[in-house]
Amino acid sequence: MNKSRSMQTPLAAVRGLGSAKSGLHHWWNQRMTAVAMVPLVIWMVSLCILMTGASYQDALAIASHPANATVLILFVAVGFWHAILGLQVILEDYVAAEGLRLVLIVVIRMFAIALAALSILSILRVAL
Amino acid sequence: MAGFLIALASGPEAFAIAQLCVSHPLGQIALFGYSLALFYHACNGIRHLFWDAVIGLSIPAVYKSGQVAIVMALCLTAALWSVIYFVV
Repeated sequence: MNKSRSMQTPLAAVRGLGSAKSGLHHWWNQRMTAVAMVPLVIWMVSLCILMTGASYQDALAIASHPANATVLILFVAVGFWHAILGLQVILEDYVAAEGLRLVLIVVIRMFAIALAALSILSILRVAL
Repeated sequence: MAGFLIALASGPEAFAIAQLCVSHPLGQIALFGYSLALFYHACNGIRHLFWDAVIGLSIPAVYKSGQVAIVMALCLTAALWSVIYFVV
């Protein structure tokens, strides 16, 4: 379209073309989940050390403690959320084909949510 | 990690299999690699959070923090596995 003769406003020409949608929300969620992951990872690493070579009964006792179970659930939920956001950015940056990119983003999202649900169910089953 | 949690919830037999997997040399190598990746990701992530707060954006500071992140990740990984092998 000839720019100089167009009656369309510049705003109308760019509206819906990618940016100014949910990018900031995505970015902010990624930062906030990153901040939350710092203490969660420290606690989780400590749990892993405690679980090293633990018997089934010991492992059950550790995982079913309310504080540990809470951290486990938060770690899984926040961790998978952070991973979904991060992997989406990688795919958006490096997969040029739009169709494939969308399919990969959706498949990864569904896989991550399924794995998170399965993990949280397992934690609840142990803890409750 | 999800597999370990699922095994723990599935009963002693599944848990025994999970224990076997993580204590096997191949499992240990995988866990070592995963811990190194996790610590590096965490250190470099914190570096990014500082950048987002407009701290350390000069070129010398960026190089310096990059080196610090790598060294921290190596130290944390070494500390974790020292604790696992020599303390626990």
